[in-house]
Order: sequence, then C-alpha cells, then structure tokens
Amino acid sequence: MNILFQIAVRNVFRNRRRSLFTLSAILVGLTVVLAIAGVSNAFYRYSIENAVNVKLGALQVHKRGYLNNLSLNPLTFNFEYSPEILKKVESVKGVKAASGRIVFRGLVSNGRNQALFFGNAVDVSREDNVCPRWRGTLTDGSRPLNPEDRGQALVGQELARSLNVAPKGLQLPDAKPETAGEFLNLSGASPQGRQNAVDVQVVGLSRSLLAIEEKRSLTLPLTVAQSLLGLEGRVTEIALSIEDLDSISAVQRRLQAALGDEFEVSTWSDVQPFLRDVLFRQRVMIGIISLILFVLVLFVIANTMTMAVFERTREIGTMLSVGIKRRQIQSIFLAEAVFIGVVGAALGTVTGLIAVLILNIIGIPLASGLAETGLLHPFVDFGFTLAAFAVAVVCSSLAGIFPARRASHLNPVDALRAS
Amino acid sequence: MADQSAVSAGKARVGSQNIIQIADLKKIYQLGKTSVEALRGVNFSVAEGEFTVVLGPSGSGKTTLLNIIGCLDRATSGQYLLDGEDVSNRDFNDLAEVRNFKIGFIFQNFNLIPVLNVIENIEFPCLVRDKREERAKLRERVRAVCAEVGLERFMTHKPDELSGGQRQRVAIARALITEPRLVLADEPTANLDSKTSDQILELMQRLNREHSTTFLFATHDPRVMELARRTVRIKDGLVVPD
Ligand SMILES: Nc1ncnc2c1ncn2[C@@H]1O[C@H](COP(=O)(O)OP(=O)(O)OP(=O)(O)O)[C@@H](O)[C@H]1O
Ligand SMILES: [Mg+2]
Repeated sequence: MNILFQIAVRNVFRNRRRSLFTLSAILVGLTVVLAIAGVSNAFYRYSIENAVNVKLGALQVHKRGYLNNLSLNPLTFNFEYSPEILKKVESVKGVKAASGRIVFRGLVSNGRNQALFFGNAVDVSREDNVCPRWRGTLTDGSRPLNPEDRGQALVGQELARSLNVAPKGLQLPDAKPETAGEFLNLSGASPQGRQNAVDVQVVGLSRSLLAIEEKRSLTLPLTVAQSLLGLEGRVTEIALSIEDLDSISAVQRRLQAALGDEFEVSTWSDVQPFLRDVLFRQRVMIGIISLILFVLVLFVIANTMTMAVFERTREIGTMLSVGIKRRQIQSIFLAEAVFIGVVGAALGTVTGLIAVLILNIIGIPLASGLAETGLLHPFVDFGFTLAAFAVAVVCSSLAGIFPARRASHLNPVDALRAS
Repeated sequence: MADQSAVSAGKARVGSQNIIQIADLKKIYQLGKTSVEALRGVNFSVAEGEFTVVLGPSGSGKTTLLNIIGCLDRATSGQYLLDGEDVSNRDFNDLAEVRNFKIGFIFQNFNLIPVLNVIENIEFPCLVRDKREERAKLRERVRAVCAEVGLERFMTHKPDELSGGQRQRVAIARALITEPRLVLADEPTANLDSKTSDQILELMQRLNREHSTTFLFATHDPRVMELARRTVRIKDGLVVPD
C-alpha cells in the first residue's frame, strides 16, 4: 500500500477520539437523513394510497374537456356507461377494475332548511374493486350502501347535523330526538337545466379528515343520481384501479391509446393537484433538511481536518525537508478526509437502514382524529440510499480540500519551527 | 531526472570540489515594520567529505544558515552554490527534489513521523520519489543502514517506543538512506544527555569517514568543537575569523 495512504489511515486511528467524533457526526447525519426520508416515503405512499383507495382511484376517464370545465357545467361531459366501455378499459394491461360515477352539485333540504351538497354517485357493486375504502369512515349505527339500495344515501355528519337527520335508531348527540328525520329531499338540474327532485333515506353518516367533506358530501347510488339528473345509463367519469401504482404512467398511456381522442385519461395527481403539490412541497422540505445535515457534516469534517493540519504542522515540515512534494502532502490529508467520509458514510448507511427497518417493523401511528388510524411503515429505495451515501462521501472530500491545500502550502521553515 | 544525473556526476568528481560555496550571504526577516538581519554577509565554503562544525551562541544565525544551505529557505541576497550549482531560481518542487537527492537533515528534536515505524521512517525519503526503487532492494539497504547505526533490534518499533538517542539514530539513518552529498545536522545532540551525545557524535564521525559524506554540524556546545577537524565560528550573523 502507498506510504502516504498508510500515513493517512494510521493518523485516523491515532486520533481515535476525534475520528470517532467525526465518524459519529457523519453516521448520525446520514441516519437521520435516511430515517426522515423513510418516514416521508411512507407518508407519501400512505397519502397516495389513501387518495386513490378512498376517493379518486388511480386513474380516471372523462369525456375530453371535462377537467378544464369543472367550474362550468361538468354534467354536459356525460357519456354512455355501457358494458362495452367497461370491458374496453378493463382489458387494458395493468388495469384492475373500473367503476362509473357521476360527480355533481345540488341542493338538499329537510323540508325547512336547504343546503348545498357535493354529490358523489357511485356504482355500488363495482366501486369496491376500484376504491376499496370508498365507504370511508362511518359513525356508529351507520350502515354502508349496498348494491340493492335504490333510494339510500350516506351524508357527511356535519351536513346531517345541520339538517337534523340521522339513520333510524341513531341519535345525534346534540339533537332533539323527536325532531330528527330520516329522509332528505335532493334537487338537481339536468345538463339542459331541467330541475328535478328525489327523496333519499339516510342510512349512514360519514366522517372525514376534511371539514368541507363532513359539511357537504353526500354519497348515493348511481341510479338515483341518474334519474335525478336525467342521465339514465350515463356517467361523467369512470374511475380505475391498477395493478401497480409505480407503473401508473404506462397504464395511463395504454388506456389513452385504447380509448382514443374522445376521452381523456387522468392520474390521481391530475385530478387532485393540491395533494400532488402538498406532497411535492414535503419532498422539497426533506431535501432541504438533508442538505442542511450534509452541510453540518461537512463543517465537522473540515474542522477535524483543520485541527489535524494544525497539530501536524511540524510533521509536515519534516516531510518537506526530506523532499516530499506539495501535492503529496495534499493527498495525505485528502485521503484522511475521504477515508473518514467513506467509513462514516458506510456505517451511517447501515445504521440508517437499520433505523428505517425498525421503524418499518414497528410502524409509526398516524395521529388523526378518526377512529381508523393507520400505521406508517417507513421505507427507502436503493437509489436514494446510494445517493445519500455518495453525497456524504463527496461532502467529506470537499471538506478535506481546503485543509489539505493549506497543509500543502505551508512554508517548510515555518512548519519546522512550529511547536 | 536532472537531479539524478547531477548526483551521479557529483560522485564522479574528485574530493577537493567545494560542495558548499557561500559569498556575502544575507538573510533579513521582516517582522511587520521591524526587520531582523539574521545573516549579515556570510562567506565560507565546505569541501567534499569534510566534517565541519558551525559554532555559535543562540540566536547567532546557525539555523538560518543551515535552512538556506538545505534549500528549505532562500537568502535575501548573496550567492550560494550547492555542488557548484546555483539553486536560488528553482521552484518549490525542484527544490524538494534537490533536498531529496542531495541533502540529509538531522534535527534537534529528531522529527520522526510518529505513525511510521523505524523501517518506514528510514525508507520514507525513498518512497516519496516519483521513480521508486524495488521494495526488496530498498529494504535490504534499510537493514544495512540500521545495522550501521545500531538499530537492528528496533526496526519495527514506533518512534514513541524509542529513547532519544535511538530516535536520533533513526533520523541519522533516514538522512543517509538517500546517500546524500551533504548531511545537515542542526544541534542534533541538544536534546540528549552527554553520554548519548558522545555516541551520536562518534557515529556521525564514523559515517563521515566511512562514506566520505560531507557533514555540516551546527551547535552552541564548544565541547563538540574538539571533535571537529574544522570549525566555523558564527556570531550575530557573521563568520568570525579564528
Ligand atoms: N522565521 C523567523 N522570523 C523572524 N525572525 C527569525 C526567524 N527565524 C530566526 N529569526 C531570528 O534570526 C536570528 C537567528 O536565528 P537562528 O534561529 O538562525 O539562530 P540560531 O543560531 O539557530 O539560534 P539557536 O541556537 O537558539 O537555535 C534570531 O535573532 C532569530 O530571532
Ligand atoms: Mg537554531
């Protein structure tokens, strides 16, 4: 082995305490980076799966122009909900299941008060395969919708409270029992503007993390909405579940090709850009935190190396007196920094992965007000781990450059005079 | 490369050649606004194979002079020829080569590399060369030098496991391994007791005789003078005539 490299390595071991301190700085830094990345990944996946499994579906098919005209009259973008189109989308590779929906707005009344509602009409028999958790979180005493239901609905619990309705036998906490009703009157307009109304029986109250949903949402069977809106046999969207969320763009492309120009195929992030932005911002935050940690590590190593150069000034003078070249001195100290960096990064990667593994096995409870709380299972992918390792090594090398340059530019006489 | 040929050319020369030739050498240290004139016009020369003692009190400029002769420092003015060659215009890396091939240093505080053992410290000057000799051959030479300076039993020891006298023997061996034209010793016995000092002095004189290597030995200890064939007295940055 090269003598200069040996000097570098032996000095790392000679200054055991300082080397251990530096190593642990890299180790802790990398462990924290991997751990928070793991938690972030888990949260990311949880959020997407939540969005996809509860409400959106991985992909959605609309009549072209639907998403750009949501604020106008989305109902005009209805299309025929035929067995043929279902068969067509379900036969595309990667698609698991499909289910038609009508998303609309209307007015709901209990006979005295009126309120705006956001209606979500679903094909109850199919929705299970697309959004397995579409029923959401229901309060005690509620029952979900069944495929046999013809005039039933689930109502957000705030909306129910304000209209004083409840499923039969369920008492709202602060409502007078004798006045609580079971039926609501929904009114809506067809795409052509023809008004219509229908009565529904409230069978369940739904809860949500979003206040707006508890205040406005109303879930009902597709057939009820179709007759209310004059859209018999038609829907405004088909939601799809897919085999593998990671290959979503490929499935999207295939589906678009199969359906042609008449339709537009969107991913969950297209229809919920808000969620995408929140998740993106979270990733940026993780990136910034990682960067800060790496810069801290860089400073710790730079400090260690500066001290090493200072302490070994006379040794540098000695080496200069026997005729060592400047670049050779530089390489000794650079090798030292890189050696500490590589060892620290390797150990840090191992401890980081162990930390992520332990968190993954235990699971982190999701703090939410709902009864159904999930566990986050942190994970990191190989690419990120490798990148974190590489950045740690690069940081330590960078940290070594300046002290190494200083060492190599010492004046021999001054270096020899150092105590 | 140029230095290597210079070394071999030097070896072919006859013994009367001056290795060191110094004329009106001055060195001024600038300390802020004040300046210290450490050497004020030194004249002297050293012939090949000589064992010369530079004797002078503390602060007289011995170290300054040896640093310039050893190409660690540059004079402010005056002329210095090493082996007949003016090295004042060489750049840093060239001077490093000159030191590596032509000069051996022995210091007051030994200046060994703490993480290297005796063998490694001794072979270090040969290992940092661009063109290295065969490791086995080098080890053989290291063994021979160790035997010469009496370190056979300590070859794998680290410097901090050695006594002062033993450390200085390692330093001497390190200075000799490159077979230099000139060995510069700056108060090499100042940190040793008198018995060890005598042994080290004796060793250096023997090496001077047996290898006909030129030694320049700086000290403020007048006792050493008795051992030297030639003494150059220096005081306040000037050579004092005998
Ligand atoms: N780097 C420096 N900067 C400023 N002044 C210096 C420097 N080196 C030496 N001097 C001054 O130059 C003069 C000669 O110093 P030098 O070290 O050469 O003396 P010396 O004979 O080796 O003394 P000693 O026996 O104490 O080692 C002294 O006055 C010293 O203070
Ligand atoms: Mg001195």
